[in-house]
Amino acid sequence: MTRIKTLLLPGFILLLGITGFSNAALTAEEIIRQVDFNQSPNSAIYDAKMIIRQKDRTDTKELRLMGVGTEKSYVIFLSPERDKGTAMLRLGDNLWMYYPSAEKTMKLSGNMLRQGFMGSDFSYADSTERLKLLEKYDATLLDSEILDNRPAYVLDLKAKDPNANYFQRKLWVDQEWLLIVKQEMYARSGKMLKLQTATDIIKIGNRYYPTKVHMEDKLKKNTYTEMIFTNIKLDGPVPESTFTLQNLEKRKILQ
Amino acid sequence: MGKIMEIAFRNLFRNSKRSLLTVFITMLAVTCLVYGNSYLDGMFNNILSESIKFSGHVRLASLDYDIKERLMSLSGNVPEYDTLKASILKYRQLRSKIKTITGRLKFGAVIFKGQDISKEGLGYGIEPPDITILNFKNITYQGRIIDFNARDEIMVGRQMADSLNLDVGDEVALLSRTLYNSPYVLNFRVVGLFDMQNSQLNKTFYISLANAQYLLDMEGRVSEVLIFGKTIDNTDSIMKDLKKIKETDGYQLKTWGEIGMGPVFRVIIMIVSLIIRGIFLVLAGLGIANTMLMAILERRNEIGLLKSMGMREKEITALFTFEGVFLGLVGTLLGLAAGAWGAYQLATAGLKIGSSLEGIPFTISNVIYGTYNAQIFINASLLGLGAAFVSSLLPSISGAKLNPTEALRKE
Repeated sequence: MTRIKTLLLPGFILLLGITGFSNAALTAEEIIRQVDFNQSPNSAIYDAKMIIRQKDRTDTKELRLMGVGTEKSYVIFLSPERDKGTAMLRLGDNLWMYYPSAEKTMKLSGNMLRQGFMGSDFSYADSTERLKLLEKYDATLLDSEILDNRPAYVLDLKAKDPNANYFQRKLWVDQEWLLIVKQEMYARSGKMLKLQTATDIIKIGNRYYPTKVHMEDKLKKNTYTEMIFTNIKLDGPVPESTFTLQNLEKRKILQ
Repeated sequence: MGKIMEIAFRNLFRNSKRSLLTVFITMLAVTCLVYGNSYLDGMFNNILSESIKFSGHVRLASLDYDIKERLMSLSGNVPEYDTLKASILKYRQLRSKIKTITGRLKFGAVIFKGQDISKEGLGYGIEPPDITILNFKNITYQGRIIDFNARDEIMVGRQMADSLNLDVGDEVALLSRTLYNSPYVLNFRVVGLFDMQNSQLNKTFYISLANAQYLLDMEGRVSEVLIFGKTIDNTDSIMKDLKKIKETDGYQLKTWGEIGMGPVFRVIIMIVSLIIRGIFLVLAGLGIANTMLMAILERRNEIGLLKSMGMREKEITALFTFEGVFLGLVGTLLGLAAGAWGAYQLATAGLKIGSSLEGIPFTISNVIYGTYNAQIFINASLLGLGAAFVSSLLPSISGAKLNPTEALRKE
């Protein structure tokens, strides 16, 4: 037995030497599964500062987001004064907005979901989606690249679900964190629609999470939006009553 | 010549059926000319006055306004409108020619009645002078005009009101995107319903400029500045003066004739109207020429007899031409009378064209009111009599040239 171990060990060490990383031999599906794990916690509560740059103007909006699973999200704006109290509820494919200026709840649908979220480069769908990529896309591992001095997998994702937000995505997934650090979103025509980068990654529990996301809507000129996340709480309890139309109008804010 | 005129007059009654036919055809052509001219002039005036309501005599806007306007983007706008307006009126030369300057904010929005009933439409933020310019006092069929000091009043076009089942007093919510693309909603109370006699314009709605600026987060900004001269003839002069002043640097200035697809379509309409007028003229001319030709062919032996009795070619030509002109005169007078009746109806009651001209790139009312002035009668008279003269002169000349023996033998 000792002899066998002696024979196998150098081979094992050699194998590790070739692959370099423990994640290196992952398939595209395994990578995306881990990405999904990181970006789709059971629940999430965080504050965010949304910095919207449009030509020579910068707007800063503060918001709080609460979400459970991939289907339920609730967002409320805390500032600026004009947007304060504006709230959004997403239940699956349904999205409602509450506007305190008119004390009205309105349902957004279709094309409106693809429009800029409160004037940002994120769409309403982008801002609330915590989708599981594997459910909506077929992934192919293209290559490995060094991005910001860190090795990253490059993957090509093609939508298998016609309701997916984008027809194609190109992802750069950090090989250690297994988290998307850069992604390009494409239309069916091949035109790039969005470019997103994620930085300032932290570990919360057993998940890696970005605290700064930069988004550029490539259909607009001279604009970008930065989201800076703080007070991130993952996998904690969020009351079911948060995700109701009654609560949307009451705008109860969880601390 | 008096004798020839007398013979010509008597000849009118020799074949009364033929004369009546000629009179009828001339009358028909002149009636069509009067009515057609009244209608076409009315349509021109309609297009002109309707388009000027929305373009001003001169429009000042951002350099990229034409593209932004089509995309319904608010980013093509004029900032600090009040300062700009005051600085334009500072120039005495311009002040003497300008009647009104008004700023408008044009925006897309969704009107919600309750939670679920909604309709997309085009909204305008307007200033008090627009009430007169857009003739709201006459087109408001229910309720009243907005109070410019109120924060929540809206006037809605008939089609929009019908599709949302809106009544005066109803509350609606306007959902729009601000200049910075953020959605924003404000509640408004419907105070008036208007009918601009145009299905596209009846899908629009109007709020005060101040309320529109607040809704769209466009404090102090307007989409376009419309400058109305004291008369339309001042247009070029105002344009020239505006181009000279430094305050308009970096802005696009256009006269009403240069805005949108209007100029191209105005040329097309002018060509079409010329063709229509030409058809009426040819109809009158051919009708008279045809009957005159028939008369000459029928009366070849008479021509031969007159020539053999010593009547000169010139006199024969005059005889037949007088006949034609007499018939043309009677037909023209009857046509003027019939046309006057038709044109009066058109000028007072108007003609509803429905949605047949929907989609054309300029505004036109659904009801066309004809013009009723001396010019259309003078034009029709000249054309009717001219056609009668020319179309009777030509066959008369050829008839008068007939050899008398040949003319007599053939008969």
